Amino acid sequence: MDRKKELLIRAYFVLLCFVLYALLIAFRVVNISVVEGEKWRKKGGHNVKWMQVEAERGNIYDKNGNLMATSLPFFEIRMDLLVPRKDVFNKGIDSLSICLANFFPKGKSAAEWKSELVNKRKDGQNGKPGSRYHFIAKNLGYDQVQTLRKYPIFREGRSSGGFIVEKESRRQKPFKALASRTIGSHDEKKGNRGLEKNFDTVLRGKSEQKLMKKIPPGFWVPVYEPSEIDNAKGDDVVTTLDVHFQDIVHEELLGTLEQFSAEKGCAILMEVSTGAIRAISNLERLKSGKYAERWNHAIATSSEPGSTLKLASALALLESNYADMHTKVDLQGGRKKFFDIWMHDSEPHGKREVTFKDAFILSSNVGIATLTARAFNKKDRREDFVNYYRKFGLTNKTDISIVGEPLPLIKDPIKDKHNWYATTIPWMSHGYEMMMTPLQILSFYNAVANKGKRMKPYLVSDILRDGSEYKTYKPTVVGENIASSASIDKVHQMLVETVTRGTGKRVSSTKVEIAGKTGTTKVEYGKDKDSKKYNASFAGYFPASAPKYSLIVIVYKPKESYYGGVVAGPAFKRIAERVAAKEVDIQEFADIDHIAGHGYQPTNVVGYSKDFQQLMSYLNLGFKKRTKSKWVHIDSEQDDIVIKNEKIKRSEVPDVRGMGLRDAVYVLENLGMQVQVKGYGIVHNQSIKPGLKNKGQEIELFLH
Amino acid sequence: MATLEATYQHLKGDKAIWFIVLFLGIFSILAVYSATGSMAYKMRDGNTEYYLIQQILFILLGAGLVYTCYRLDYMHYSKLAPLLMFIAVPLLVFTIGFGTEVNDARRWITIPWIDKTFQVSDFAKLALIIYVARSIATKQEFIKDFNSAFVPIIIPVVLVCGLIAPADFSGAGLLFVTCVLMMFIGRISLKYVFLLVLMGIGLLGLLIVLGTLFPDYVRLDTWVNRYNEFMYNTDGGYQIQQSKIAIASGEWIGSGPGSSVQRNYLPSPYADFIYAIICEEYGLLGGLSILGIYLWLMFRCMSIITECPKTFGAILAVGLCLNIVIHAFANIAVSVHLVPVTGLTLPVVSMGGTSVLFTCISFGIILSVSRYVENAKAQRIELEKMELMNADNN
Repeated sequence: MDRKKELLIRAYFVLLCFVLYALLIAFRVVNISVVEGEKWRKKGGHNVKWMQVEAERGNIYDKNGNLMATSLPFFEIRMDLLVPRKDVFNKGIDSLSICLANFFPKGKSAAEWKSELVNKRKDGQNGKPGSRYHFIAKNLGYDQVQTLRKYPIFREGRSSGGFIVEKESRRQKPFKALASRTIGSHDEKKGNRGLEKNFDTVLRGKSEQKLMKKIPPGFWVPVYEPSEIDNAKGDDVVTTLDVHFQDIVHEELLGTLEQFSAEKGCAILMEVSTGAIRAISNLERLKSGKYAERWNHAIATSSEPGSTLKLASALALLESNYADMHTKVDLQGGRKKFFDIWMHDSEPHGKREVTFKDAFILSSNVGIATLTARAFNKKDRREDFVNYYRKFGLTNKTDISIVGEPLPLIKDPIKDKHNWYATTIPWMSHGYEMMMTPLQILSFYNAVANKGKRMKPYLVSDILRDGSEYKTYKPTVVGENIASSASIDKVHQMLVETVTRGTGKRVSSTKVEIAGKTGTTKVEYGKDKDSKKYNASFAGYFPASAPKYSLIVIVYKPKESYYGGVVAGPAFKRIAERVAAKEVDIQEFADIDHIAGHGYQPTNVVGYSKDFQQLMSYLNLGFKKRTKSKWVHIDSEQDDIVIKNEKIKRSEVPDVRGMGLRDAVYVLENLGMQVQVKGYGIVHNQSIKPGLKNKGQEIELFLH
Repeated sequence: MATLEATYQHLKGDKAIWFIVLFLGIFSILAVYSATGSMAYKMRDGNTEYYLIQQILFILLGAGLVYTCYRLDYMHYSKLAPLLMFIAVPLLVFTIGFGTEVNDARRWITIPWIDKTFQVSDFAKLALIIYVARSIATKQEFIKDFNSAFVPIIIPVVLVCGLIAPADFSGAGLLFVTCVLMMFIGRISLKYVFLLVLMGIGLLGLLIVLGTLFPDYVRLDTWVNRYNEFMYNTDGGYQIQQSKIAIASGEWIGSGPGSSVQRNYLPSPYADFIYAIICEEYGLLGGLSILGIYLWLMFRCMSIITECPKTFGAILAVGLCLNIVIHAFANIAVSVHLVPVTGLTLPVVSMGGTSVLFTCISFGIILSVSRYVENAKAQRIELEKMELMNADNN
């Protein structure tokens, strides 16, 4: 045969095969599209859809990076029993049942597991619902899911083994009650509160589109394996709060409320130069008699401030030059009639002629009211008086980033002329006939401490995206000069002397110099003329010579005593002393040589690296940061102090022996463990051996 | 338009094949654009242009390659063939050892300085086809012989297919079939062709044994899964069902360009299942046209070999053409549930960098052959005319 002809015949034979194959394909396409068309079109789109899946919510940190609120992931395991093929299922079911029984020692036995899974599968094959989403376990940690994933059948994955993993996040506050009202809460149904609410869009992040499929009896599950770890994440919020200070403020406030069985109380600690809020605590008595953070009184509750606001009238008097520190005033023994109403000092004292300064220091209502009335209670001067309050910033909101702050109520002689009486200015001068929140009062004190520069209080310093700075909130000046520096110096002097020899004597401390003013505010006097209900408060700042922090403590309706100097003052003092002790550079009295000179040698102490760094450098013990580890272990070898890294692994129970309680609780609860505590001091022993598997179990710490 | 037409007129070679290349190129841009819409939205912050521009660049680069290969006299490829094989085989060995894993198959190597992955087997396939065509052509005198023709031709085929198979079993299989068909057309004795079919079956058996022994190197479990799904699930697995929904919802004229719904539900709508998306958006008409276009390519290649005076050109053109069309039919067959899921692309149309480029090179070589055939035909007509004139003169 001709070569060319042979080649062509064979080629056309191949072509023929291809034509036939193409016809077969064409037949299939037409078959799917036309003959079976209706069936497939019906199937389309009904059982699959794109759904919004929330990104992992961002964390809230304090200023040193301590976790204040975080979302911990938990997993739920279900099984689509109709997915595994017959051979896979039959081959693996025995060993899977044994594995499951071993994994959940308190749960079902291997035989129970087997019969449950086999029966459910049979049900499903006979058309009964429920077997495509069969519950296996919930509240599992990531490591546990990884273990389950290796079991027979499960290891075939979702598409061949029917292994379904679902993730849910739970919001946790590692420091529990600390500032919990300000940090707020996150709840999809009830709505958010606090910072969780104000920074919701930031924390929430972008939600993700995920393809979900519907399986009987109506669950939506992801079509593809969910990415359990690298989900989209919301941004983190870094607050200005400092957990150490928060701890102090919370504890002292709680102690005071319990001591005086008060109805509620709040305290705010603010950094003078920036307006950053370092601690904010709100506690109120529950029916059970315990105290809890229920409502953000510090920011959202207005009341009559009382004597603490004498600072404003005093400053107005000095600014207007109607009075000086030495201007004489008649106290009339502590009782005087203004027009038709009697005004009383907090108790009768019999004093007559004193200076303006002494009237302030003794917190005489009569004295301050007399001077203020003399200067401003005239038709053409009223407006000036209120204008001073405006200039001091007392008529504005602080605009803190928490919802619910009310506007201060300060009367205006023109706008409120139907409500304006001849007695209004005398009573305003000592903090009545007006409403302010604790934070609004503190902002004013902070401005005085800051030499007249008024700062906007703020709670959030940074937004972090993927761990690095994304947005920074800088301190904001809202009033360059609320008053002349001469007047500021004079009121400062009065605040200092209030503590050294006035109503604030109990606040006077040998450890830190405090300036401040007491407030003893009568409440519900409208209902009951002889009401003995008071709010006791103390507002001020420290150290007086170079103010670093301003602080206000308000105790609502204390029992037994009600004087600001007696109830709120001591709490103020203790907080100030403890905060000052933490802050090395404002500690004025500690004798460094006394400690270092005696050759102090720590033995087997474990804790937070930064704390040690600060302590050791303060004590001149030559601590050099030789490690980047967050947690360190310190021991003495001969004459040297040795620092070793303390490694903490997520999967293992860490060794917290040698740590202080706060560090230990922080470490353990961040790893998802439940902590129980016995005793006081340093952790001496722990109920679970270090190095064992961390399953989020309960652990008991023994301190001494 | 005028310039386009002028260029088209200027181009030599089979006009129909030029048209097919142009058609597939444009279609690929359209199809990739709509199929990747949702992917671009998810992965690139809604920047749908990203994949479109990438595909356009590939198609333009491909057009350049078509033109270059078309300009080159196809006889040069015969001379290049041994060198290409010499490069391809060590590269394949290297890839098995050190390749980059994509979709848990180690078929790729990353080109260091441009950081693009490059599928070595695409290059090796081309090299092998050219080499086989050359061998068949040079051995035409004694082609029915076993020792001097069959054995030297089959050894490189088995070698290359064997090296590709562990990572890309279906690709290796199709290449083997292509080579067997080339040998069949190239007049190898029929009994040896049957022997080859038996060998192919034997090779499959060997691989299954290897797969059970070295599960890390041979993707046996994947094949078994796919086979099982195909055999025991008449409606097909999830992917196949979604593919069928796509085909059915296109009905006759389709839902229109870019309006696919099923692209969101198919795992790789831009590659393995692009045919389903084409059917959904352009309907049965579009789907059957694509099928027709590839078949038309077969017919045009047949006409090349009918006209081609030289065996090398004929076998080369038909081999390259078969490679393209077999791939296309295999890809389409997956979408319509004729064969198990294989992970093959639709030549030119699917998004996929280097495979598009190598297919373009194949088209360029086919066109180069067809240009030669056209020239030869013109010369022959000229010759015949002259003979006629001479005859008249006589």
